[in-house]
Amino acid sequence: MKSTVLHIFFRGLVLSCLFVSFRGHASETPLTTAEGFAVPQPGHVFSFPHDHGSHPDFKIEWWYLTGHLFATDGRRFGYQATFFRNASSDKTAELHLAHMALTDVATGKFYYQERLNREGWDAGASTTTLAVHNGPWSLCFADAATEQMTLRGGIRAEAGFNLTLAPVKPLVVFGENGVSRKGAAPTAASYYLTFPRLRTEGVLTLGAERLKVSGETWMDHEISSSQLDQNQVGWDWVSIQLKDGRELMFYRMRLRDGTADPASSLTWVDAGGKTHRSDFTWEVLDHWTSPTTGAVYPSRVRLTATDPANGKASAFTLEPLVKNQELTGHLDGIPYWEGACRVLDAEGRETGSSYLELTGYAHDLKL
Amino acid sequence: MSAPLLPFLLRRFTLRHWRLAPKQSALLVVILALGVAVFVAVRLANRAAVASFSNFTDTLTGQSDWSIQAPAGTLPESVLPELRAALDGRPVHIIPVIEASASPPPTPGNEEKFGRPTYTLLGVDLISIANLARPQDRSFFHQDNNSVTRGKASEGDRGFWSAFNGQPQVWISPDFAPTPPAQIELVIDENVRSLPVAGVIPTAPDAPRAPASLMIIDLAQLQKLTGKTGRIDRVEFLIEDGPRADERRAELRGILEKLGHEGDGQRWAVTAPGAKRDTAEAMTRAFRLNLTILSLIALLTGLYLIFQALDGAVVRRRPEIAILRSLGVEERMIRRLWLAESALLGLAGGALGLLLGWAGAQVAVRAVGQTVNALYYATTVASANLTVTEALLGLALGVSAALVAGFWPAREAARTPPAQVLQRGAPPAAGARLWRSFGLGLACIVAGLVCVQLPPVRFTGGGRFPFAGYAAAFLWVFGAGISCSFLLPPLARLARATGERFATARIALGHLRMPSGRHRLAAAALVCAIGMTAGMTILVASFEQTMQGWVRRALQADLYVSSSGAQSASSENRITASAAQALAHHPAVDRSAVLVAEPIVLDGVPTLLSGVDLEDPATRPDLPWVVPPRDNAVFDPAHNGHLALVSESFTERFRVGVGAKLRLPTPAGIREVEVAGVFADYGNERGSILVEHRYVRDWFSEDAVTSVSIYVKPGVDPDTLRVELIKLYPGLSVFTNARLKSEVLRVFRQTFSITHALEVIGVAVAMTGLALTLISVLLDRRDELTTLRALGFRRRQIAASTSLEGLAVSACAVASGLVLSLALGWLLIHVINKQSFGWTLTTAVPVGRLALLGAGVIATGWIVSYAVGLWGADLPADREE
Amino acid sequence: MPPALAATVFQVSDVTKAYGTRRVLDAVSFSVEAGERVALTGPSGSGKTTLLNCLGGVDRPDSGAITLNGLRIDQLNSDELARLRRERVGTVFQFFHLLPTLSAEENIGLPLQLLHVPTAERRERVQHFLDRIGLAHRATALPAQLSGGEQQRIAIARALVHRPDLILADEPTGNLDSVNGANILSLLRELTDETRTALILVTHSEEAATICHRRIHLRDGRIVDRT
Repeated sequence: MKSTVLHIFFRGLVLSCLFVSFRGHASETPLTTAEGFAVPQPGHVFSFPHDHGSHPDFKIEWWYLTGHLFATDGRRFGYQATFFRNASSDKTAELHLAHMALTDVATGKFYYQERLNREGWDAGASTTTLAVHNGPWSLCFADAATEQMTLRGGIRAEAGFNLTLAPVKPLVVFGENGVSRKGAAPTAASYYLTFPRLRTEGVLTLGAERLKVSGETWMDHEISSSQLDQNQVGWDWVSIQLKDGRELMFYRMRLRDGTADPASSLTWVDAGGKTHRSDFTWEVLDHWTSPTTGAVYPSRVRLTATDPANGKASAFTLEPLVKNQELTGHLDGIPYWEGACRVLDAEGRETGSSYLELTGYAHDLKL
Repeated sequence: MSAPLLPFLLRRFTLRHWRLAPKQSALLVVILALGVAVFVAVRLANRAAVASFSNFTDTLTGQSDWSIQAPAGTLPESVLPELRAALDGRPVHIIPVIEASASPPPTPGNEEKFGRPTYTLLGVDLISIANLARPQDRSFFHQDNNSVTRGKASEGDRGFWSAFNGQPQVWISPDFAPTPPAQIELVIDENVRSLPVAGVIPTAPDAPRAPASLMIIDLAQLQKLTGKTGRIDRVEFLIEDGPRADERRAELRGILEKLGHEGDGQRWAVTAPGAKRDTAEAMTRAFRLNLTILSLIALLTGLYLIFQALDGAVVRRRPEIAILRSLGVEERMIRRLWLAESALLGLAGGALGLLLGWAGAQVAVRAVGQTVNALYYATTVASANLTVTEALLGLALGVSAALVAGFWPAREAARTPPAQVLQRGAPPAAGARLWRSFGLGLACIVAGLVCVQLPPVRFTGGGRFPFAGYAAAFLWVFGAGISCSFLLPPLARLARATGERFATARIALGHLRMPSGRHRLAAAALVCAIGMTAGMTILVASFEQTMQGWVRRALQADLYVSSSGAQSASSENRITASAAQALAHHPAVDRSAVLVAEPIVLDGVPTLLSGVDLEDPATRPDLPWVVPPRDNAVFDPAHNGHLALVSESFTERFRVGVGAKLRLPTPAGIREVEVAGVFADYGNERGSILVEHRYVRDWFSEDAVTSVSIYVKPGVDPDTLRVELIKLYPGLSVFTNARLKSEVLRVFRQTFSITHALEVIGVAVAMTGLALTLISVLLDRRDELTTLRALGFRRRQIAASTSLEGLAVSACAVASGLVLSLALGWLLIHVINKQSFGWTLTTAVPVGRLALLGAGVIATGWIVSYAVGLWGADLPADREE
Repeated sequence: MPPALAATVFQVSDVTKAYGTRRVLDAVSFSVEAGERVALTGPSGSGKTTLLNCLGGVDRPDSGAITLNGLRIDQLNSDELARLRRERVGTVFQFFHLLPTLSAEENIGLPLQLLHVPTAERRERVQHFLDRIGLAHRATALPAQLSGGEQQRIAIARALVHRPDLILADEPTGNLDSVNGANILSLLRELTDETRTALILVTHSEEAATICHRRIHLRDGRIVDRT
């Protein structure tokens, strides 16, 4: 039953577009995919707030927030709020999928909920500015000029967050010449826009409790029409916010043979918001087996990268704040692990916080 | 201290008597069982008919927390984002729903018949429904026979999307057919659609199973199919899981109610789950109560019989009771013993009745369903199930009926003196002393007259129940039962002149001159059954005659056109404006008139708002007036903007008359109209308001019509035109005048079919009772039989004597019963029917049918008593019982 | 001969009863002692039956007192009278009055059943009486299968089985032939002797009266003769 459901939504909603087969090997970047969706073009000039909004010419798009929150009493939380947009192959309809998750570090509890709606009165995204909603959840600019935004989200009626987010660092565009490559195929690319550090404040309701919280959020806005190659089975993604004001973004496209696709990359964002590509090593220190899906996920990983500031290798050990931060996938059928981690340096000192995303571990996504 | 004694006595005394006379005991049980069975059958059928009516969304969402619906017409889709915004991020599922009805197209040759099934098409967003996180919702797209997903892996997401972007697909109930068809043909408005079946509606353990008549279509597609794009019928709300659910539910209601108010009007009403079912219940309550009361005829008749059978047993077992008394058994214990015997009989009868009732319900459910369908709303019920509650109720009914019937015999038994007294010739048991009081009979009849003056009981939702009317009926039945036996002695005297010459007659008449309690009771039971049956016959005949007159006056056009999908009183299938126009401009059509009917909720009570061309000269004579309008303003489109005509049932339901101001809820806001006249309408129990068509069209922004009546040009054959129109519009029902009249009357008769079945059972029970009485009488008279045999009477002569007794009792009962039926007929027509349905009927007494009933009862009575006489003649003198 | 050391079981003092203006019983007084058998004789209409009904508690005297072992029968209500019949009095009828649906042993056992005597004891006592009246072999027969004499023997056993203080017998041989009648009378005598139960025997029969210790003769409601 589970697998049948997976099949449907696997094929139907998200992955069909992630895995659209690559036809032909033109070295030039095509303007459109075989289905006629736009392909990210190098040298694209972004215009804001327009480009914070939706891009219906592209097949898929997401607004992806992950953050760390602290209540006034010191209790620590991680949260995730994701809005996906996904057009049908014939471009006649759009589906909006949203994921919300909350990690309560003190109790070790992990809450999450998914929501799926077709484009319409209960889900949609503005094409002119940041305003995306799905059911009662929404993310929009409170003020486009200051890029301050408001997030309303929650997990059923069990948890809710009403947060205000304001960038403390300017927007970063990852990739080369405005295009972030995800594989060998020319269409396997995205526009990758990121607010690496948003000051976050607001109210978190948890059960009967109302907590004032504050913290920092990482926000991705990614626009593409096809991302993964046929040979890719999944990806690992990391965002690190260091206490020294710098950030790292890392993704690793995993190939069927277990190696990483050359398109994998690690990027430093310095205190001023400038990006620096760097080489990296990825070491899995521990594993965790999901009691729900049986998937075996890396649980503690060590990421080593050359620090552009001093040219030395820096090691970051990512330690999940809670072991089980798996979203088992009710609607779209893709289980993945997306969790808050603390970041330790080689000496074991906590130097920052991070979100780690691990996909494609539950099964071969292509079947 | 008596506890172990009672079972002992029951075992050694009562049960042994039963065993000695198993047939009689069995007969008693059967009589009780029949009474209980009829009641149970009708009750089960009633419940099934109501249960089949539900929101239907339950099968998908479980029970929602609140639902909003416009008091008239539909809601615009624009309320949805408004609602989402007003909820301000509160975790609430908002589920817009559209509901439509459709019927399968008629099979060739049946175009002019009502009664095809009505399906409910439920439109919900099949994608967002998955957010309810209920286990079955995902499986909409996960079926082995599902063309959506199977074998289309290579097509990427196209398979998934085709369910929404391509041709509309329908999901059907697992109960619709053993194997779901690939395609299904439906008449929606005037179109015949062939829709592919995408799969079977998934079932979940916490939701009711999808009824066979339910079909699910994606919201957007059903909107398109029914021409309701951008409109929704209602919105359901489910709060999401989490703490403080009650608080959040109440808060949600507050928000919805606040948002629903608009000026002095109401955009929508907020209703709790089950409210719609309650409405259905309220709507049909009067009808169902009437049926339930009718179903008690058999039990009531049976009561007389049980009473008399127990009484007979008391008389026969008196010597034994006397012995028990002389051995020191208290009166109390004797009474308890008899009550226990009654209760045992009741239990056995109740249990058997449950079985019979359950079986009967499977038949009755269809009859009840047909009536509900014709008068109230679409319902399809396949079976009626027996629940623990019903089972207990049936048993309780059997036991309490037997206890009521056994009360007096038990008292009589307890009064038996000890054997010392009895053997010295104590006075014989008085038997049914009650039945010898002419005064009591008279008092009952007078009390009934008082009850007739009382108003009905009113329910919320507009239903009315003539409680006092039924009390009067009961009192009259009871009073007539008592009084009728006083006819026996005069009858005997009357017959003596001729009968004296024959020994057999002399013996029979001798008995009747001093009728025993048995004779009186048998007569009373028969009076009860005949009176009620004949009373109903008079009602049905009056109804039928009134209907015929009404149909003659109301149906004058040559052709009547409606959507072939409209097969139930609640159907909303329409004819689009363009089709109506085309019909009106057909070269063979002289003129045409349209009718549009919009269900509305007025003061919380559902009713109908209809628009017609009041100016049309044909309209006026069409309406059979109860109170005609004072002037012609209502027929003048220039002046009838604030005027309305209402049906008689409307005036009963809303207790208004001419001159009353009605505030009609419409999508355009509240519209006030004044009642200008009252017309008779026997086709609609909910009542209807008639205004100029133009206004309904404007208020509801709806230019489709419910029906079109056509007057053909001179020289045009309506039948030929009918055939042509059907060819042009396969989804339309076109009735010729004659066919529609006969079809209306057929549906009418069909609604009374269950009534007839109940009556037949009542009379059968009474006839059985007559046989039982005579058996009992002959057993009492065993000495006499022995003497007669000793005197040389032949078997046939004894039988002839008995049959004469039976004949006299039946004749007397028929005479009284028919008199009673006239009174009951009047009561049913002018009080009970008027109070519950608001229909004035002209009285018609179907002399032929009543005569037939009387003759049938007398003949059966004669035959039955002859047979009993033959049996009695062979009765051995020394046999116990 | 009245037994020595007799205790008065039953005392009738000044009992008077009238139906309308007709005096049926006129100041009747007598007493009966344990184990004593008293014949009550008199012509039809002499008041025998009325007196017997008063003694058995199914009729009530207008005045006077009837005392059974200290209990005033004439003052009891219906339930108390039922209890009296159940516990202290045994009755033998002319027409036997067995329950037709009960077997011989069940008929005998019925008074014990009414008194909730435990099953084992009941069986034993019923068996004892069955043996005693010589009908052990007919224990399971229904009354209809028994002869008149047999039925009356069962009735006597039923009257004695619960060890009453007093037996009231109303023409117990009236419906029997002479041989059977004699048998019944000797059975009554033997059993009342064995159980030391007082017996009041209403009879026309001189033969029946001979088994009694005493005879009280009624005429027009008065005791006219005592022997």
